[in-house]
Amino acid sequence: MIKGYLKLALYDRDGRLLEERVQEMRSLLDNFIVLLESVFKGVDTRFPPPEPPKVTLPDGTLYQIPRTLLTPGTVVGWRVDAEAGEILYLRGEPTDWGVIVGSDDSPNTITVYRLYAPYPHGKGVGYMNYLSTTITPPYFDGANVRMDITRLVLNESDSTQVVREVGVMVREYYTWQRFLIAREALASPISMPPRSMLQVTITLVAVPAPFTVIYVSDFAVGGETATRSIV
Amino acid sequence: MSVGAGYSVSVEDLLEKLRLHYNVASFFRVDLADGGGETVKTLVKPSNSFLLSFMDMLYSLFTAKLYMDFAYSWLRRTESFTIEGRTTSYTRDIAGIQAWALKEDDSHGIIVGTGTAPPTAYDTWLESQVRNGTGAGQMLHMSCDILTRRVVADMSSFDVKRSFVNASGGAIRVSELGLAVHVVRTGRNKLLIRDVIDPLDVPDGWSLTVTYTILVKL
Repeated sequence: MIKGYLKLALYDRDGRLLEERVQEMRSLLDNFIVLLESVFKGVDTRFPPPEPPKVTLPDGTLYQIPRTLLTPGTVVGWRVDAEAGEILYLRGEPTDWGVIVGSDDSPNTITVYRLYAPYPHGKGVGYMNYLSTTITPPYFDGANVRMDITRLVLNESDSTQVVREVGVMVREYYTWQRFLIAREALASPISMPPRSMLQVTITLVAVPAPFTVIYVSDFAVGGETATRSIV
Repeated sequence: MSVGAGYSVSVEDLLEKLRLHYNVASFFRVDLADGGGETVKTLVKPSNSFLLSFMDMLYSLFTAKLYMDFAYSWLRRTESFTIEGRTTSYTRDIAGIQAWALKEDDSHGIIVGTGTAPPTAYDTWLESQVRNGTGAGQMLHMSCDILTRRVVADMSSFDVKRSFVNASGGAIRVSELGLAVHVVRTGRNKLLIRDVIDPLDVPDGWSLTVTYTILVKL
C-alpha cells in the first residue's frame, strides 16, 4: 500500500510562513496505471505485441507510450523532476510539466487527464513562476519507505491569485510528450498574495507489513492516531 | 470488480471494510484447485508490502535515470542456437521492466515460497523460493500474464496472474508470495512486492493460482 500526502506551505514576500496545511492525497489517476502497465509489459519482438496501453494527453487525444526510444541502451523515463520554468523557457522547452497548480477545484474522476485551469509559467496575472521540481531518492525512515516531490511556486504578479488544484505532469524523455498522472482538488483554496511563495510537497509513503491502518476519520479531526492492524 | 462468481469476498468489499487511505494499493487472490481443477479455496487479501525497490523503480522512471539497477530502456539483441546441427539466429528488440514471464521461468513474475519471515522494506527476494520443476519441493510455473486494465467507477487497475502446479509427488506448504520484475537494461531481477500468508498446503497434483491486482482509487 502506498499512501500520499500533500503539504502546502505559503510564505509572504519576506519569507514569513502565512499558512501551512497537510491533506491526504489519493489522486493518482488512470494515466499512472497505464504507465505502470506499459512499463511492466515492455516489449519483446519474439512475440505478438500485447494490446498497447494508451494514456490520455491534456488535449484529450490518446497516446500510445512508445516502447523503443532513442538508441538501444539509452535510459529513458517519464520525468517529474522539471527544471525551473525560466530555464526550460530559455532552452525552448515546454514548461507545463512537473508539479503544476491551477485555479479550478472541480471534483476528480479517475480518468481526469488535465488540470482544469492551470497557471502557465510566467510572471503576470494568470501566471505562476515555477522553480524546479525535486524528488528525493526513496529512503526508509524507520517505519516506512518515503519519497518526496517538491516544487516552489511564486506569484510574481501584483494581484492575489488562488490555487485550488495541484497536479503532477510527467514529460516523456526525448519525445517531450506530457501527460497528467495525478491531480488533487484542494479541500479549501489557498490565496496567494502578490509576491508570495507556495511550497508544494507531495510525499509518497510505502507502508510495509504489518499495516499501520490509518482511518480516514482520524484525518478528519486532524489527528494521526493510527490503528495498528495486521491485515 | 468481482473476483469471481460464487465468492462473497471482493476487492471492493475489502476496500469498504478497511476504509484505507492510499494512493496505490495491491491485492492478491490465491485460488487453490484440486487435481480435477475444482477450486477448493480462495483467499483475497490486501497485499502487505510494497518494498523499497518499488519506490526505487518509481524514482528511476520519474527521473529518467539508472537507479538501484532500475532503468527503462530497450536493447537489440541477436541470439543464435543450434538444433540438430542447424544454426539459427534472430534479432529481437526487448524493453521494459517486465512483470510477465514465460512458462517455467521462475526468475521473475509472480513467485511463491515457503518462508515465513515477516516482510521488511529491504527485502530483496523471497526467503525461500519454490523453484520451477517436478522435483521435491518444486512446482511447475505456468506463464505469468498481465491482464487488460480495467476502469470501474473511481478505480483503475490491472492484474498479474500466474498458476503453479504441484507435480512433485508430495505436498508443498506455500507461505509467501511475491511479484518480481526483470529489468531489461540491467539484466537484474528485482522483487517489488512480498507477502507472507497463512500457510497453504498444496497437495501433489493440485494447483495454485495467484493474482495480484494493482490499483489506484480516488
